[in-house]
Amino acid sequence: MEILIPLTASLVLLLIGYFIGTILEKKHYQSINDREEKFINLPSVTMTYRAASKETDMSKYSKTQLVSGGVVVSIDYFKRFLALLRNFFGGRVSSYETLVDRARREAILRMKEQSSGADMIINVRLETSTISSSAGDSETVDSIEAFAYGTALYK
Amino acid sequence: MKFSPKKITENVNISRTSPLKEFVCLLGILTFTVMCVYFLLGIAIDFVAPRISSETEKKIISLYSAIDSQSTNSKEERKKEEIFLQNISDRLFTKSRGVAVKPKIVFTEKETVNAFAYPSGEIVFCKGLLTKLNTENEVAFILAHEMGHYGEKHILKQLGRGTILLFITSGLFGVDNSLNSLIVNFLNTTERRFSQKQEQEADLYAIELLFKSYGHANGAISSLEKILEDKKSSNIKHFFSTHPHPGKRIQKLKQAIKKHKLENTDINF
Repeated sequence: MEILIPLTASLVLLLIGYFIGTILEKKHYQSINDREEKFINLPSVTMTYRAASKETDMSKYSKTQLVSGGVVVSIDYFKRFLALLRNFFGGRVSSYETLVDRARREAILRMKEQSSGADMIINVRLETSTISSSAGDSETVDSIEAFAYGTALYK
Repeated sequence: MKFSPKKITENVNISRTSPLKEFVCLLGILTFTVMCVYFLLGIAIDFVAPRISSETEKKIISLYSAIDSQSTNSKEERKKEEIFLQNISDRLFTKSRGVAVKPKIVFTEKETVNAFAYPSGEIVFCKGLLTKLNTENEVAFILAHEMGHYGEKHILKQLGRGTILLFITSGLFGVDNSLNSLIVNFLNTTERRFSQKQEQEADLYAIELLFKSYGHANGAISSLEKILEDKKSSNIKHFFSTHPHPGKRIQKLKQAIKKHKLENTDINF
């Protein structure tokens, strides 16, 4: 009978991870969608200054500024476990895809929030790095940092 | 070029698969594969273990006894219970089959109602068990049962299975891995079935040995009845236990005694 204790413990952890993780992810996506709509009129493009100057008259801008936005997101116990299983068989790690997607979009949104009043952001770049505690091998913290930066142009 | 804002409705960067379905599929396949490997290797061990020569078995046993010989070999005086148990054990050993090394009895003052057979060839007998038993036949049954674990090569089989379990879990997933604990738990459940089978084998071995040594197997049933109190407990609980359901265990033993006519009806205890 005592054998059931660790088994149920891990199943409970997985269930908690799954349900709470799903709720939080849905909420985050909702917020991302809402804010993206709010900032839809602020273009953020990968064009360099030189390329942009061919498209538009740069003399109308009085100020340029470096703007950035960063975010660190982690996944739930369930998805981490699922990724572990995926690691074994190989294939698309779909449980990590939403993590990366959320991080990148959130980083761009934060960059846009920082550059309030800007006309456009050019030269946008995205960096991604993983954060995991390599010291303790047993419980690695799987989280991702996404960092977006660009040049905001103000009129 | 004109900038025209457009709302993105379709997210192509994430897969629209159900994570739960994926989880069940992957875990199912993995567990099934590991269980198959474990099961097949287990069969191989069951095949090999009885064919290991007693010389090799002695060598394996000596590996384990070397570790704790220092503590037990010191020439301190043996307790009188220990000598009593050792005498019965020695008597049983002369008639036993398949026991490579003469078991050494270790008596402990623990109040738990239990006895254990160790890979080192030592049978640990707890005080709590001895106080529950009244006759020599009952004590002999317990010792014969533990001896059965050696005679039926259960110790070798379990050492083999332990090695396989270690190999599968640490070899495939690394030493410390959260996947490990889940798989090991699944495997442990099958391990329990295996253990229950062994207990029954040891029971049958014990009554055979009792009959050979004493001419009857009278102590067996009363001995089991005394130590197994919760005869009416649920079957579900015992599915996950290392020992079989007590009621069934006694019933099986009674059947075996009747079948082989091991009971001496003249003597009544």
